[in-house]
Amino acid sequence: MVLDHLQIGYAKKKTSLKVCPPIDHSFSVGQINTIIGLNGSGKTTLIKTIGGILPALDGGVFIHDRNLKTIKKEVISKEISLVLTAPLASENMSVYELVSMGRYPYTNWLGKMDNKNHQSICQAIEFVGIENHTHKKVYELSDGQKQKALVAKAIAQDTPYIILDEPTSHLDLHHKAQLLKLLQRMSKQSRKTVIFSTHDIEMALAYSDAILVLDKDKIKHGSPASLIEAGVFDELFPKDHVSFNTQTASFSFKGLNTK
Amino acid sequence: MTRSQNPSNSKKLFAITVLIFVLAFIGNMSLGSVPISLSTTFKTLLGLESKSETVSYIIHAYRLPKAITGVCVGAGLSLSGLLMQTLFKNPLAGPYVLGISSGASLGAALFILGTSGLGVFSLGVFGHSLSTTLAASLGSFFVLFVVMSVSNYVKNTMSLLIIGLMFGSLSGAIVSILAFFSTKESLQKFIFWSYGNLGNLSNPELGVLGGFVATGTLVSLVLVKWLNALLLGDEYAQSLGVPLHKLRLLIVIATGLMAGSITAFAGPIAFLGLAVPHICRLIWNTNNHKTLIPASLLLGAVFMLVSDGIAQLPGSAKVLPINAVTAIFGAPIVIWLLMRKKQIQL
Repeated sequence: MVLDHLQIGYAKKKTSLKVCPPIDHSFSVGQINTIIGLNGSGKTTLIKTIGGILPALDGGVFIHDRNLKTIKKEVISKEISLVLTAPLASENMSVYELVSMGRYPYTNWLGKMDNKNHQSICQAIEFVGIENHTHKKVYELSDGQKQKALVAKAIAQDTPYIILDEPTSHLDLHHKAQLLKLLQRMSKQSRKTVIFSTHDIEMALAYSDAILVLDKDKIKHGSPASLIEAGVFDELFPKDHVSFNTQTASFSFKGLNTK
Repeated sequence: MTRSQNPSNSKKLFAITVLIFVLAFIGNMSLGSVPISLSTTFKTLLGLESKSETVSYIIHAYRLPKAITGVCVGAGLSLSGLLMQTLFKNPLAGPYVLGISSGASLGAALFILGTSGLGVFSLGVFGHSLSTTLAASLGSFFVLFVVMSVSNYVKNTMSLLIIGLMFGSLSGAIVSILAFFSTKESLQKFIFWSYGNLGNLSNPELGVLGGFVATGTLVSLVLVKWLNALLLGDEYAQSLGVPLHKLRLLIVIATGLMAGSITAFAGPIAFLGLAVPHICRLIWNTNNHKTLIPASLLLGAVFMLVSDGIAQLPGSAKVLPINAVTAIFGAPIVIWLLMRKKQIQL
């Protein structure tokens, strides 16, 4: 997936609201790509634009050398699957039903599930490890299980690209690590390109192969090591509250309790 | 791993509902100012018994068309309500949120009240009822057309919902003004129209109504997969390949055809369209449209037939307004189901 001078933002009638500088970038295929940035830096906007939900203001998103905006939604749904932060409009469905929607692009108008689809659904549910909750309603799940069910839906969609918007945001440390390991396992096992945005920079450094940093003035990208070396994280937050330790690749807070 | 928890349970529920539907259909026809026994009704329908010409005439000329109207009205309104609840992801949405019934009321009011206020026309009873239907259809399709054109401009469904409500308030206000300046007689006529009425449909009118409801049902069935995808939210639906704008337009057209024609022919029948989809969700415990569409059609028809049966006030020659019966009979059911199941989920 290549971003060619991509300008993200929201189009109004006459003017347009540009969210961040134009982005030139290519996501590494079969790897874990992370998008980081401060609140309001355009992470979600970028996720929605490369996911084909928001139109690009300028430039374009290219997959297989084709501009996303020229590709039909039906075709995109076989290329890109999404996990978003917005709550589901209805949670009154079983995990099985939720995951089965991932197979919709491959079924007829009635959404008839044959055995092959049934198998993909079961495999996806087993892969994320919630097979004991297959017939539970989504509203009965914990946040962590819900997130896993949504990832299972994306896996069942069987697309080369899986894009997730802040998948770890409501999870505790244990479940964060578990989910990221799951994504890593998925990308290694089936050569899927995983792109996700996150506020957990330390985790992004530990788990991702490439990082895209959105900033008001400049877009930076590279491997975690190269970005640390370039001192990107030292400048990311204002120095008076948070500081970055290059040795441990972690942040420390400057609060009243710290010396 | 199995596909669903108990598919046989759902089939059993459907079998029971179909049975109840058949009973309600025949029962509805046996009730009226002249009571006819269930078995006689059944035999007359099948052409097995022609004991009396009068009975046969009553059933074929009056009660059968009225029962079929009831089926169309109940099924169509419930399906419209289901479509609106899914489109707006709002459990309080019903077939009339797009302002369709307000449009019909406005049309009817302009005709009944406006003409009397101006003192221009005085039509005969028959001409009046037919023209009221025409005026109501014009009104509802006018609002439908405006809402559809507006829906191309607004990006999110919430705005569409509010625009529909605004149309409702607007036409309500105009109706009030017309009512204020109109005569007592025409006001009474208008109020009778607004009570709802399943009778009085000629065969060609019934054909038109049936055609519209069938078309709406067909459209909804074709959309069943995308309706399910909408339950995840607009953005997820798009990522699953749903052509959102097209889908939205088709849902609005299907609802408009059904709710519009029903209101035009049978008056603004309230409550049913909002409540029946919820009752189906609670009974079948699912949100899958493959179950909910046939369930709403069936249960909606049953609901209407039973309400109409009650409205006949068995054993008397009086007829209650159908609009009052649907809520008196239906609201307790919804409350009871809710208290039993403890929660409602769209």
